[in-house]
Amino acid sequence: MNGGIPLAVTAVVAVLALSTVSWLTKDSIKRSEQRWIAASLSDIVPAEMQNEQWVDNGFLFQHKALGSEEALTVYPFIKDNQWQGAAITAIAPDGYTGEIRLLIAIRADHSLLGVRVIKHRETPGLGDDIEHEKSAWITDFDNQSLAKLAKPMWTVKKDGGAFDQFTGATITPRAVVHAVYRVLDWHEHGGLNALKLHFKEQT
Amino acid sequence: MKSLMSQGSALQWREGLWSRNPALVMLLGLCPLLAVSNSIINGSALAIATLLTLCVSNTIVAALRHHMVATVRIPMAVLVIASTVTVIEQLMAAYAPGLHRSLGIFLPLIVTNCLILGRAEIYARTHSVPEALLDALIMGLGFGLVLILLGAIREMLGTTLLIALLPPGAFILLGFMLALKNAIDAFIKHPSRQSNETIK
Repeated sequence: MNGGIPLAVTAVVAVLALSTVSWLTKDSIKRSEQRWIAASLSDIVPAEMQNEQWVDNGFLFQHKALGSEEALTVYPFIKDNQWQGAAITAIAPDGYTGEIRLLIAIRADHSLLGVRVIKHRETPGLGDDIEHEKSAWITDFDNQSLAKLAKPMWTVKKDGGAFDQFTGATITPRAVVHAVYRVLDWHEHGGLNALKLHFKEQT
Repeated sequence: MKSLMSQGSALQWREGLWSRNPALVMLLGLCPLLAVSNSIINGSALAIATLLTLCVSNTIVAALRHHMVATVRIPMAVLVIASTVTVIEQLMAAYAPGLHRSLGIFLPLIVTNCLILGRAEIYARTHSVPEALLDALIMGLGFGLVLILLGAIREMLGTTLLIALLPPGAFILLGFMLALKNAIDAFIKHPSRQSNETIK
């Protein structure tokens, strides 16, 4: 009978252990996430736009064009007080298994520097070709812009667009292309000014 | 570690790695086995994480065995396993972020690997701590070696044969591994190959 006490004690010990580990690893996890983002950034952003504290320069920004109700981090590239561009965290909400978190780097002239996937849960072996480590697909975005590529082309080839789908996975690349288009469109129509304003108010 | 060498443990090793192998014979934990075996790195990482979880959970369950009343036995074991996995996941996120990223959802899903709860139920709750730890080590190795082997085969075949990397390919290749194991067993047991001393 009476197994309540051992169960309760185990639960208390488990809670203690978990909160200790969570507290101990919190900083490391945050640092490794930032290092990951910094590495992704340095991959797509030319050296002359980079500076040491850009990851610390990041600020939170919320807009529905970024695909989320939550505020997402924007990393501005500032040189000689001039806005060179920014890496914008955005979410493609319509992936095959939920959200795909992207880092979209856009120059001040509204052209793309490049795109990287930060976090996703797409099917291993099928949808994960959006990762730069797995395939070069994501580099198709390099230097693209709305001026170069008309609106109907911003989807996968299956839908008559300019971007490849993967064998066995169309939903994943389609979601990424659409998200990048949304952010580019917003950036050109008011988004860039909103970001600049927000950054100025903050500093 | 004396028991590592003893007579009983030789049988334990043979059972865990071969005759009662968790993946090839008991067919436990197939979901992560099939899902993450698409490369050697992923397979090894999940194998190590599973082995660690199994060792910690078996040890704790064995240590608590006198307090595990029938009514709360399963909830307690699940609590221990879930906490262990979460701790390992947090540590990996902090100190091996690359591996953590590539294992993704399958790391937390170790909780649902029936191999782990299975060993707690079948073995750890009726054995001493060192025995349970040895059992975890052997069973974890038996599971992990299959995972790594399947990962290696799929990675090699995947460069020319896409299906090897897809989920059906994992099922088919595991099927071949089961068939091969059974064929080897049948070959060994065949009457013409039984050594004379067994016929008395």
